Amino acid sequence: MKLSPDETVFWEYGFFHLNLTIVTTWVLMFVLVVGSALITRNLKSGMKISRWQCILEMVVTGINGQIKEVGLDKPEKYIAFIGTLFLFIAFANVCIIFPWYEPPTGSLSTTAALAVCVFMAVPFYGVGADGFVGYLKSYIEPTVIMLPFNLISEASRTLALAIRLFGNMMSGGLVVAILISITPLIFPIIMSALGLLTGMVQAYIFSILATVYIAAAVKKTDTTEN
Amino acid sequence: MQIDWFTVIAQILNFFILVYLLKRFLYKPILSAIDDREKKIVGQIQDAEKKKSDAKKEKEQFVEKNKTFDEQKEQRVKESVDAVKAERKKQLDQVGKEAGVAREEHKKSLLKMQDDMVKTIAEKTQREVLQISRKALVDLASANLEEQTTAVFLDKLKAMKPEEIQRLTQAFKSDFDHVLVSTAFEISSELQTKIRSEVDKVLAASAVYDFKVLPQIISGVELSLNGYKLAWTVSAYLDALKDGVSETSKQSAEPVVEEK
Repeated sequence: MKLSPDETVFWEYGFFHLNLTIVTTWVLMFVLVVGSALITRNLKSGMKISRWQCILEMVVTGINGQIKEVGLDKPEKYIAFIGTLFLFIAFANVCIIFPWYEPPTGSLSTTAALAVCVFMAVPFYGVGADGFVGYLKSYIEPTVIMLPFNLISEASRTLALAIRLFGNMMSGGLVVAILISITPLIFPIIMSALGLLTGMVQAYIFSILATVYIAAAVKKTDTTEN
Repeated sequence: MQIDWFTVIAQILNFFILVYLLKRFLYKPILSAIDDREKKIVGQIQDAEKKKSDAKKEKEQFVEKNKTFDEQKEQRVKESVDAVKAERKKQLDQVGKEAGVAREEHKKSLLKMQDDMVKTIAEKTQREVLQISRKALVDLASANLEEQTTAVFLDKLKAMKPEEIQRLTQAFKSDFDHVLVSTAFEISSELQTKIRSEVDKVLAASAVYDFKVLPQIISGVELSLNGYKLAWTVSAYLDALKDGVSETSKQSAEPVVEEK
């Protein structure tokens, strides 16, 4: 039994190899980008808009609202990163309804990659808000003694992000697989439905935590300034 | 279970590519569309506010204009009423004057009619009296009225006072002056001769005579010479009657005019 889609390798050349995780990610990326491009190709700024445009506007404004609620004043600045995190994870998790589909988020490599992205994004936005020195100073606040704790906090939360998402998605898939072998009728459907819910919740948790970390970095520098 | 570092790197790259693509094809267009719509809505709201403000101003102007219009209307109505009253008074005055003039003309016309009627009555009376007199004279004296009147005229000529004779002789300047003798009827040559001789006597000269018939004399003889006139006619007597009748008619006509 394969626990991760990483284990399904299609092509390999030394360090480079093409596994199911990467291929599935490309397919998801293609669907997301082409779908968005098709819908936004004929956008209207009037009062009457298409249903698809309405759905996309709802999604984008919803993400914007969430970012704002967390405490970031200019959500347009962060929506590309946070919105993509949410949409990618949510879309990847929702697709579990398709048979034989294995979500890339069930791969620790993918969740680690996303966690690393968040790990990089936090100092990126923090430095963008108050400069490099200002951001580094936030690690020795309120005293220098806090520096190791802050560093541990950064590393541990990145690890927590990766493990949380991977654990939830992998366990969901595993539970469904086990149930199919035991009771192939009804129960796997219920568990798949639960998996959909879990997937959406995980996407929300992941992106909201990323937002909170970025907001904390930006706010921290703001507070230091004040 | 382990982390595949190539997959991690590949997924990081994939993720950033996805971030760029979604930013390019999803967030940017959607946010632009939303911004445009919000701007449009804000523009429409501002436009509506402006229109509302304009409408309010126009309403105020309209109310002000209405007020001014009402005031002007009242003023004009008042002016018109005054003008009509003045015109009415003027027209009434004029009509009063015209009525006065018409009344005067009517009064004059009535008086003229009265006068004409009196004249007609007098003429008729004269004629009737003359005819009655003529008939009475013929019946009583068997003499012609013309003869009698001529006789009376000749008697009057004979009985002329010296100053009258002097005036007649003064009027006769030369033998060539024509003496005009007018009678109501054609008189006989005998009477003409008598008249000639009597007048010549008075004039102490032989004058030229023209005998002419004038029916309006009615009866009698009238002698004219260079503006001097000597006459005895029935009309002289009848003139008194005419005056009397005229005066009586006037007195009876006055109240009629006053009543109108």
